[in-house]
Amino acid sequence: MGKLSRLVRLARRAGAVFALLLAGAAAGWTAAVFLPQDAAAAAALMLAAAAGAAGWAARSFRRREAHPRGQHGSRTDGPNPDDAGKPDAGPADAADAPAGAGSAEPAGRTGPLIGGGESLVAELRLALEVQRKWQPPVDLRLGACRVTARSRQASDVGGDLFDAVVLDDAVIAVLVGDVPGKGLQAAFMVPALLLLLRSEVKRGGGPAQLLGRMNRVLAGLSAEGLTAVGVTLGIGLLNVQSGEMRYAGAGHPAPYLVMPGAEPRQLDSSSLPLGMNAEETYRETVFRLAPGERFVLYTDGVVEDAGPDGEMYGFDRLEAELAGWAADEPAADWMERLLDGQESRGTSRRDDRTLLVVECIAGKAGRRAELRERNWRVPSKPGCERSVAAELAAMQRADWSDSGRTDDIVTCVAEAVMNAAEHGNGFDAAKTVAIQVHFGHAIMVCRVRDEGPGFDPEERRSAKMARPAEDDNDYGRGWGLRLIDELTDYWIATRNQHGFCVEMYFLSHHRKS
Amino acid sequence: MDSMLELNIVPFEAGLSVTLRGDLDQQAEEKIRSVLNWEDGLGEGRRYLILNLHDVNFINSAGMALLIRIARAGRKKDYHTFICGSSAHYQKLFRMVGLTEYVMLYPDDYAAMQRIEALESGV
Repeated sequence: MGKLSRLVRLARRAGAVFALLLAGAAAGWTAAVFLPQDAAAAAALMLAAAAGAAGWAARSFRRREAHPRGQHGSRTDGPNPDDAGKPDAGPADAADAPAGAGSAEPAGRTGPLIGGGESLVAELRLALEVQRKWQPPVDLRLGACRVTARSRQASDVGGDLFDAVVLDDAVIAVLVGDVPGKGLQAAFMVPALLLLLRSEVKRGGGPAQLLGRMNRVLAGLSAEGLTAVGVTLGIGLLNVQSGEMRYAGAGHPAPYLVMPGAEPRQLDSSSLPLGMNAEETYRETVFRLAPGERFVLYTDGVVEDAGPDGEMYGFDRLEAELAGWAADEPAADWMERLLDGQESRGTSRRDDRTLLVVECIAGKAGRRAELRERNWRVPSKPGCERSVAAELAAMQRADWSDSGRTDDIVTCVAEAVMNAAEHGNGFDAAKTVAIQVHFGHAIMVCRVRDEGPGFDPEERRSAKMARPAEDDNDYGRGWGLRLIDELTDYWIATRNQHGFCVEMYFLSHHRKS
Repeated sequence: MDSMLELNIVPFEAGLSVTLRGDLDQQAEEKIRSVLNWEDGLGEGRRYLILNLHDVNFINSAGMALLIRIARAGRKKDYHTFICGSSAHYQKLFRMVGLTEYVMLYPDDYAAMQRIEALESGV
């Protein structure tokens, strides 16, 4: 137990939550990217690890709560000899902690934090930052369809998750979900579930099949706190050419279909949440979005948001907002107005609130905030990035000039294209580099695809750190990725049957949400 | 933006002032080497190299690597490298990749020359 005790203290000092999250995330993404055949297995492994780590962290904090430290940082039930002179030392040994004492949700406590409370708050803030990095706001347009999502997190780290994944030139997968609990458990589970989704969605099938596969993975984990209430999830696959949406839900609040000027109608999609019953089957609903029509997903935090008198926001108010949503009001503005309105009621939020809207653009609807997209395909030869960079810069100045990100974006896209042409396609002019950019209200997304085998970002980083440039000719190697690391808000590398893709996200500095 | 690099070199008493126009990328090395073989030093006892990037609109990681190699050669061949006229964005990138360990950044030629005069007078 002495070793375990030291490990626990070391992990705490190093910011255990943050380090575990990042390590798990990096390992998971890497596995998903480079082991495409076993991506689901990799995701399941990561999920199991995340669930285990969440359990460990929650138990650790329960112990801390049961054994608060005194004024000088020592435990009130007696000093640990190893901790002498170490004011930051925590609880000594896992073996002496009472099992199952108190709540598993330290962040959900209503009383004042005692003992290690400041440290707990600091670690939760770190977890919150990591979670925000994983889930940048969505502003995506493909064809005539647009996907917008906004999420406001509770004062604790919450469990809402959302995503929009472009599967090919015609299909977007959208997702909104909620994992059980808040705090550390949620912080661990959300990235793992996003990984699982991204792995599974690329294996094909409809949303009901997708939910079935994810359900079997989650049910097989028997994770603490998961099998009791499960994960709620709503998944839609949108064909942007036809406007056809295939939707399936797992215990998630029923989504709405809204045509401006008409009453909103709810889609029935009742079923058990994921992870509770491995045999559960899910039902798929297929419909076609008419021009101007909106499909609205949300989490329970939106309708359960309580005012100062404890009264819930409720479905009636949400439906009134949906019914009054003007045809020319952009989704981002509508969502931010609704969320701001809830916050103006003055109470602190106990749960995350997430909204995701899919709409087919019609006529003048949304024209004020019309999003733009652009595609290029260039042969792989030295300097091929320059024409893309120049056209992109002009496009930015015309349409996104107030973002403050033009230079960062142009630099990153140029570096990604150069890497793709040189390292991905080996400057083989017969091979092309495909570049796709989407400008949203508050976010710009760029994907750069090549036909090569791809690379492992972590491997590149560690190789560079292990072998700093001795030879002058080595200068510049790896700098492209370093600049992308530094200048993007978020980026990932993925691979599918069409090749390798670097996907970069940039938030507008003027409209961050 | 296929803008080939052009260079204009103006010698002064203690060094060389080089104005670059165009793109600074992997294709730039050959062009610079054709007019300035930096690995052999600046010649005639010159100890200062000013690179004016005011008219360089595009610099990628290969271009930054080239600047570092030029500046590192200066340490071996006893000349100091000054970069002036670069935008705030590229100054940020220079710091990110460590170029500022080897070069001094100045807003323009005039500021760089003032610093050189101060160095020459032992200040």
